[in-house]
Amino acid sequence: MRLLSIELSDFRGFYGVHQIALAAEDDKRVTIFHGENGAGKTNLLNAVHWCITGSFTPRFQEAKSLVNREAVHENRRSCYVEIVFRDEPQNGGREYRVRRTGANEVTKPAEVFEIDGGNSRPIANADALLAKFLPKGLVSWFFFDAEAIGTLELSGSPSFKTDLRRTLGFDLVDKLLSDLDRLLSKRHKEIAAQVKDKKLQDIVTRIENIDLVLPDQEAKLELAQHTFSQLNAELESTLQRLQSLPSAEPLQRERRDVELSKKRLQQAVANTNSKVAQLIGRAAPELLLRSAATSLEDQIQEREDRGKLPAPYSDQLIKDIETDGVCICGREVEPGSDEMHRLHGLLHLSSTPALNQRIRSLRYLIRTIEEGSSQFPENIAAMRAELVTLNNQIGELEQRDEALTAALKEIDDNEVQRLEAERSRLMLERDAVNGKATLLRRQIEENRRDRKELETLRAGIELKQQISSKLKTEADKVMRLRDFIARSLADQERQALLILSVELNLVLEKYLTKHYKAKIDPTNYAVLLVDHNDKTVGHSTGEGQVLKFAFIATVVALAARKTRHKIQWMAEPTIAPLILDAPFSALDPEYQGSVARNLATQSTQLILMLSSAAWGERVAEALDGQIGKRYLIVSHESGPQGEKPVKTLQINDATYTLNHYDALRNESTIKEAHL
Amino acid sequence: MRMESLFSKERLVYWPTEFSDVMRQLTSTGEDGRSTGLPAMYRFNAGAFVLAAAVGVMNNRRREVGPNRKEISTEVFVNERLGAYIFLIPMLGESEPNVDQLRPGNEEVALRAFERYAAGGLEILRAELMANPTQSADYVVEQLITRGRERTKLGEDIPRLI
Repeated sequence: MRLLSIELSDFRGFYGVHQIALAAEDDKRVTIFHGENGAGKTNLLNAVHWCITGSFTPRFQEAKSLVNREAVHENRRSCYVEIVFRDEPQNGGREYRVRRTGANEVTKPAEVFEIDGGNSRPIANADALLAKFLPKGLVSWFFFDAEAIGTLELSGSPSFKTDLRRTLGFDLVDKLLSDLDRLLSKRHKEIAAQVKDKKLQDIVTRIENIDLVLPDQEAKLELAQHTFSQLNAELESTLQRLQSLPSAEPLQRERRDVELSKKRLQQAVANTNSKVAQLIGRAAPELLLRSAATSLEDQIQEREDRGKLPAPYSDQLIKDIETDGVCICGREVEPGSDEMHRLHGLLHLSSTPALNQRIRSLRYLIRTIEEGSSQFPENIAAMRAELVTLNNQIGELEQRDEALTAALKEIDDNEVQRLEAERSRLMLERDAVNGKATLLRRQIEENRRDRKELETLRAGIELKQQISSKLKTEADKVMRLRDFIARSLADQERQALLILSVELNLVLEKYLTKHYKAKIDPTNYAVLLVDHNDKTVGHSTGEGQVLKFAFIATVVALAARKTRHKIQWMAEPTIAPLILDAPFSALDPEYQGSVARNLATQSTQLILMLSSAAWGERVAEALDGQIGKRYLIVSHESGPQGEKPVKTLQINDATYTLNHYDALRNESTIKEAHL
Repeated sequence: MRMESLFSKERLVYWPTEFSDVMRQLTSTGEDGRSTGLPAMYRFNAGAFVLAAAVGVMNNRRREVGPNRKEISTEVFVNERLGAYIFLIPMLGESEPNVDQLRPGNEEVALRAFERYAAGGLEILRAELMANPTQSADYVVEQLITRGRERTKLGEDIPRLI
């Protein structure tokens, strides 16, 4: 999708009709809008956002006042935004026009027309077509209010993972898998109904119930885990602030040490409990079998004493007699003779190497059982004593913790008390969430286990029943397809995260002055920035901001299959323009140029809205040669200038004025500037 | 030193799939094969299998494995130094144990008897674990052994666990 032009009529600060052509070619794909704060950059971003989606960016203020105030005074009650865009060449390159009309507090459905040879053909389901080009869930990635970059959460919240999976098309595959599961369940129900097996029907129903409940439980667990991490982070921050207060510092420092010691001891308890379990595991068969094994050993010994064990002759002796044809007494033994038959009859009582080896092993085991069973209780008792000691130490530390907390509560300092209350609240909440997560984990584990066992039972019963081959074939086909798609999705996810990680690190390596790397957690998609010691760097640092911009650009490129490394996508790519409002105000100046260059490289079309402060040599140089169109958003004030400044912008050799006073009306206008 | 195999060739020992949850509890693994984080009595199923067989033979409980089953190679038992149990336990189950049961010709008989005792033991273990859902597997096994000792009323000085 490439935007070709925008037409605004009485939209927000823009009085009357404004027409803008956008840069849309591969080699000139950047359009810049220069404007000061309040000039109308955010209004312009939201004009595009509203026209395509019917909604606004999260920070957009007074969203219900759509119509320009001056126009309202002149009795014009409606506004519109019209965008002409073109599909990508590989999809046919068709052109479309979308117009959305609205009044204050009213938004009408969009109208979409396909433009063909100068004729406009209306499209019946406009919203569906627009969603096909830019799914609603992805809009926030492509139409970005970059002053909100500070709030972009890369920490792996469930909604972040959901949004990202949607961008990469995985949610469509999830939906397909979910549909296949339902279809499979339906087939199994039909099979159960056909064979009229009540047990089978019951099993199928129980599996269905688990399938209904399990996704919700898994989602809740993910949320609980994320909440737990957030609460831990908040708690850590609170404790650091507490420790920074002089009146609380010594006590909080000691309490922190106590908490760390307690954690170490708790880990020691866990390790010792593990050793106890392993000891019991080793000892249990020995203790159970000791008495019987000792009795067996006595029998074996008795046989040995009587000369019956080992057998007084080996199988080799009999084989030698057979070969030589002579017994040890010297008598000849003919093949097939009665003597030979009698000798063969003794083979089953002879001693053999394998038999002797097993007897030796058995006696060794019995000795091990006897020795081990007497030693292990002592060892386990020692470990249990160790556990008692550790738990006593933990108890002492807990008492010390309580005493320190009581002392902190006595400090006559409002800030200390506020932070203490916050600490208590956060700890309670964290423990509650942890408890909830533990319960959910258990429930999920039980459900998964039950489901597996029910599936085994179902398959077993179906195997025994006379089921119509048509039903069985259909069910098998659906199951094979489902398994294949699930495997393919898992592969794609792995590859996508790998490519995302590789691409991000290419950007960071190229543009950052520090040796930082990006790491993506495959379980929750959290993006971490780490230094050369593998220590996490905060997202609020300058480098963290670069990571966020790089992330947006890489996600957009990945969705459009523009990355260096390719994977076989199961879903269609999303190719849409990247529109960023005021992207560099949150960024360290040293990184502005590199971020600008990266954004231009990774997107198929880039529309940037910049203040004069954000337009400097670095950004100009980074975008040099790629800018196809440049505009100024000029604000007009009807009042006198007085002491207020006039803002200007220098581009190449020209100086442009960005605001005027004593104007006919309060409005924003859009003026094309020379490149 | 090369570990000599007690078996004429590598064989398989089978256990009923319906006791998968018992095996997982004894090895503290989840459905996905990963550790649950709880203390594990055994690293491998072979260890849990031997315990089950010991419980089965001491309670004189045998049952058939059935068609829905999983397998463990005898080599795993040998590597874990548990191979001799495969012969010991069937012998202990006989009213008149005879070392001739250890002859290679009777290997198959010994393996199947070992399996049946293990299946019987898994039944008992599952009942015990289900009766004590909030307790750890090692605690439940410990209690089982203690009760077993008291039931046999042995005069000898059986070492106490605690």
